[in-house]
Amino acid sequence: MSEITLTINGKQVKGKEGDTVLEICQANGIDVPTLCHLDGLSDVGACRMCVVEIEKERRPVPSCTYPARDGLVVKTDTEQLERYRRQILELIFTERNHFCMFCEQSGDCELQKLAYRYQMDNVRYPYSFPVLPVDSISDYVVIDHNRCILCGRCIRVCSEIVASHTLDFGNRGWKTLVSADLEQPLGESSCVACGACVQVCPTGAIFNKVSLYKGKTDECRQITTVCPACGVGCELNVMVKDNNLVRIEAPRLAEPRGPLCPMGRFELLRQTPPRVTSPLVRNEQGKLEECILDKATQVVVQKLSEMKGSFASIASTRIPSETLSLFRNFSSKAIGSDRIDTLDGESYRTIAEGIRQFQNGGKGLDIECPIGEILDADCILVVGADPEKTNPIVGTLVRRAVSQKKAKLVVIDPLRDAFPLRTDLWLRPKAGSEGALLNGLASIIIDKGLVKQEKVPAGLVSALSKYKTVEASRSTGIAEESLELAAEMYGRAEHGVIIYGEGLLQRNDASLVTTILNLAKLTGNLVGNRLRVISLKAGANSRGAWELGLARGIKQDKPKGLYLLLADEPVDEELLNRVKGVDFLVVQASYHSPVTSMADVVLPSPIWAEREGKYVAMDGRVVELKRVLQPREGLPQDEEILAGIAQKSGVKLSSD
Amino acid sequence: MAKVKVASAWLDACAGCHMSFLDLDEALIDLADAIELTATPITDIKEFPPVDVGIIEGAVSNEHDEEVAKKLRANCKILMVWGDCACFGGIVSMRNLFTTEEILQRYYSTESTAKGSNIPSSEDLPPLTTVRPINQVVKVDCYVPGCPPNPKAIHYALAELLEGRIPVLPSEIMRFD
Amino acid sequence: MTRKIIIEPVTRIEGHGKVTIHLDDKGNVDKARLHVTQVRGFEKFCEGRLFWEMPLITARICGICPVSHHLASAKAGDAILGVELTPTAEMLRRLIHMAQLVQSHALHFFHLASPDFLFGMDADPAKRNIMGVIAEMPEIAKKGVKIRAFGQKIIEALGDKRVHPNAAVPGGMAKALSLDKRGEILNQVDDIIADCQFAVDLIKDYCLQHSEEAASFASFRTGYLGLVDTDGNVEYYDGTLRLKDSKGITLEDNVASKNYLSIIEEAVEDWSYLKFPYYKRMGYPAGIYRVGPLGRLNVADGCDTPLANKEFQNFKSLGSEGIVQPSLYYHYARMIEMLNTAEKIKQLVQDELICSQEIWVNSAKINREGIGVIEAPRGTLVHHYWVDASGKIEKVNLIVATGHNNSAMNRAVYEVAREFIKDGKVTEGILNRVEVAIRCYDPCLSCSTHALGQMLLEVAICEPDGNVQQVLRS
Repeated sequence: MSEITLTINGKQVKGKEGDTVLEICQANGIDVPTLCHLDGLSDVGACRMCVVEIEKERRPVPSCTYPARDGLVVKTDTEQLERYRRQILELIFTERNHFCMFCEQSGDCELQKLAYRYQMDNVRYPYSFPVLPVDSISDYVVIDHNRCILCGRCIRVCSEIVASHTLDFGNRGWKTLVSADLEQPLGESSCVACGACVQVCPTGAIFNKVSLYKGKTDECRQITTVCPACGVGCELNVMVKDNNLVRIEAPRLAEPRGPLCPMGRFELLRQTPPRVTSPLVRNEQGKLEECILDKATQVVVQKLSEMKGSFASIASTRIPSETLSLFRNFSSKAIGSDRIDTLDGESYRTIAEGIRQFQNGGKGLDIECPIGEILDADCILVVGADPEKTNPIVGTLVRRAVSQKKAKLVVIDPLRDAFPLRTDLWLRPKAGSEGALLNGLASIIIDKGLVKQEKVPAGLVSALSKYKTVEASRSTGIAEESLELAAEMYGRAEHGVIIYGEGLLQRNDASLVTTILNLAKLTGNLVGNRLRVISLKAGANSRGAWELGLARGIKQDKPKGLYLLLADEPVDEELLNRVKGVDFLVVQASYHSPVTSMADVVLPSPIWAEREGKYVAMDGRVVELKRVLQPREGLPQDEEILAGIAQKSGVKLSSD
Repeated sequence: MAKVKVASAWLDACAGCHMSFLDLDEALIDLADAIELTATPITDIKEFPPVDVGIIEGAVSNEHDEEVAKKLRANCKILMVWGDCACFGGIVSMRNLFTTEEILQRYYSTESTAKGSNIPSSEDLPPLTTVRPINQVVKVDCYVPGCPPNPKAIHYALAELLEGRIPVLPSEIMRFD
Repeated sequence: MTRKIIIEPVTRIEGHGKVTIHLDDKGNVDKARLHVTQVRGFEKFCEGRLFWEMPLITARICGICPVSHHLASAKAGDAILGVELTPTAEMLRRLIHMAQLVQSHALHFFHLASPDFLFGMDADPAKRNIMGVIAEMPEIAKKGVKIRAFGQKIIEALGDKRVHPNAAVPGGMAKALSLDKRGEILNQVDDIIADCQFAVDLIKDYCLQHSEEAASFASFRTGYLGLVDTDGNVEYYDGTLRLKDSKGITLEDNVASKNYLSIIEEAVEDWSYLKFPYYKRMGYPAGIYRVGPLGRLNVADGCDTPLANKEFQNFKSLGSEGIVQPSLYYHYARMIEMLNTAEKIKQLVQDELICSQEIWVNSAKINREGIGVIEAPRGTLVHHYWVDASGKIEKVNLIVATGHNNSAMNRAVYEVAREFIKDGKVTEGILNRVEVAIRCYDPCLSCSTHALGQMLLEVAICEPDGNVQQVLRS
């Protein structure tokens, strides 16, 4: 891009060819007011606040959409322009119902800031008082059309960054409304509740129910940290006031990995009281009773020694590596057992075994590609996974690839179509026949000559001989044409990505993983020495826990004693089943739940916001969880509790 | 130097702007040397005499309000309005989103109202109009928005007037909430 | 001979009102009425907004007591969320409420009502106001400003603004109290308590020196309503409702505030927009009752702070069967409350727990109905919201403090007019006395008419046939 020179407000400034006049102004520190413009989104020239005078143009033009050329002479701050901008503000204010005095956004509102800047202390136009709805049905997001200025930022972020395409303008003229799907309430539409629209809205039109009135931006401390909700490891900007969580935002929303999901943006703000604020021990009457830490420690120590050998431990993968490492030592030394697992350990073992078999005994975990590879895919296979639910940002990247790169999307799952609005082909193999399907695809790809003969590993053709089209179709119950179509799509792809998850892993069959890896290798879908394969991991630190050796597994029958380091992990049926029937249960948790109600000893534990440490995200990146809240006074941290039990048991812990 | 004569009125208002004026605290006592309050809601003179500065808080919402606004405009040299209601219509203009019938209907049939009550219809009650900011009824010389305006903003405006200037609030002290 | 005197507007009150007085053939008062010509519409135009917004919307019902509405609204919101506040949040709510009671009572007494006592009800209108007090009795004026500022600054510390603060949210408070601010309050509060005591003594002396006038000025029988705590002391923030009759017999006790509908109903008269609440079981107008300082002290057995309780006992000795009836004693009761609430501020800030940062609780639950009841400076205040499952307001019912006193104010105007207007003779001083009667109730007419418009105070003296002869505008 060649350099160009413009004259702006009498000064010579430089810019790049292809930039807009606004971009060049901003790059040179020339302040031009804007409302509908947002860095990272396309420009539409809707609000006209950025109007400038350009020599030889007959009338002022919006600088955000005007392509800059060498030699342009521009004025951005004439008296006339400033009068126009004031006029625009007055028109906006009188068009709808802007009641600043009770608006959540007041003090944080771009429209209001401009009104102050232009000293708008009265308006010359009569107010319209249109009667407009407030859409509040969603769990998190409210759209108040009274405050909307129709800038379209929400629509653009929803399509360009989040690729959900839920929002658009409905009706025309002055009846225009931002509409979800076909004028559905937002909470009943295809909205994925990511909250990007909340963040980009320049007024109080779109806001979130959870953070209402809790604090303005300049009243809060802002800390950048990583999300503890799943293995993707998105960056968060957490806003804190008076040691309370106010709001969570995406620090770089407009980047592909930028958007958040409802777990990270909204659910993390909710705490599920009551909090465990004191150790508890079950007394003789069978009721849990508050006690001091010493007492609880004594009880645990005694039981550990009585039941030596029949204790096991389980940890949540929301916990950073430093603490997990300590817990591993604790388990082996204080509990005296190598029966240790994580809540999602089973899935991880399947993945690891599958990789081991693929590598013929190698140890490399770095066989998977970064999730950013999805963005450039021209074909995506989603096998036994529901990214929009389990790791929503992966879902976002898939949607982007489909809408922006026109990637072909094939979903393989007996029960659910993970992308019902977008899937090109949904294959529903009979339960248990996923292996036959994957091998069938490989077989068809070879038969059709979609890979060079030289690339096919020796012995593979004969190994796949029983998965020819007809046999594969019979085993899986899928029509031959569909199998062939899928094989064509993936086989011809230059940049094919396979995503797999719980739906596949719950079969506990490592060979399925190996087959997927082989399929990717066969078709040459590598980036460097990594395969374009992504396995979805539930926990923020699943991989870190695995690498520390915590997911060894609890073999044989149910342990008599169980030490569960639960932290603030949400509790579900599966977890309840794992702890039922245990003779002695110790739960170290942040919140009371049905699990703590079953425990014999309950110990407190910090929530994600009160912790710090490292996670290993699912793609192998090491990311840092930073502490954003001061822990409650008097509540011991995990390390203190574990060290205390170890000490009273006569062992010394060292974390390595 | 002669004191500056001031008269004020509150129309469809909550009195918060006048309260914000009283929140000048000790500065009020200093101001007493420079201004003379004539007819205001907090003094006992009932009719507006000719004054230098007229102040209105609140929006115009019935014919009586219109009369008061016009009377004060006719009797003052400079008319200043305080608060979002007077400057823009404010929260009281939310009633424009409903009809008068809807509003009265609800008020006289709430859960605690005796059943079968009728909407009052005495001729002593002035006819209602659309709620409007003051500048849609009479000419206004200066504005101090806010809900209510910060005492500092009111002080700034009064100080400017006492210096003989018509104030326009600087951006730093302007607010709409 | 027909005369209609109209006082318009009534000054040194909040809002507007119009009074008409009808004379009989002999020129004596036959009927007197206080007309409220304003309806503002909050109960309707809040429909469609979200209940989280209501504390900030309803605060704008009144600029003198916005915190009362703000808190009653937040309490209704707490009920909708189905949560219990943290101990600190409850302390902060009480603190801001006490601060506003101090400030509002100080405002009313010093800035609005005191000129009548300090200069006399017949004094020159030009000086019968706060500026006059500043000019002639600056020390007293300064005390008023100081007490008011003390309350306002606490409100500002908790909500960023003195009028319409952003302090309470459903589920808690938006801001914690810093240790610094707490220190400031502790430093000043003893001084303020002394000033409040001064104010009590001031009005007590006035009542003593004018005891005959005080005993007969606008004195009439009504019931009384207020919140009390579990010990029967005056309670402003929570508690239960207690109603007594004019002889001091307890008609209702321990009524949970969410059951307000079981005891209160509102009548409508054709000549006033403001409704007339009454005790349901006794019907209208037999069941009229008074609220506010006189109402609260009459139903209670004591005050929960030492200095105020001493004054309370003295006060009660002015009546019989624990009931003090004449309207002028409202001012005396008001100053006792100002002392009580100042002492309560001291008690609250002495506990360091008030500075904890655990100030709100989350909840994803939404109940379909919520009721918040509180004692505003002027009396019992009810906010009742119905919401849909997403939190949007479907219906609102408000019973605002001054509204309860509507019948009583009408009665007061009648009694005073009847006592002083004889043979058709009316002076400016007499008209001011009619206003003084109204001022006893410290009416917040913008609140009460949370409907639209203003209340003109016109005293219209009419002939029996309804012709108006003289209009005195206030």
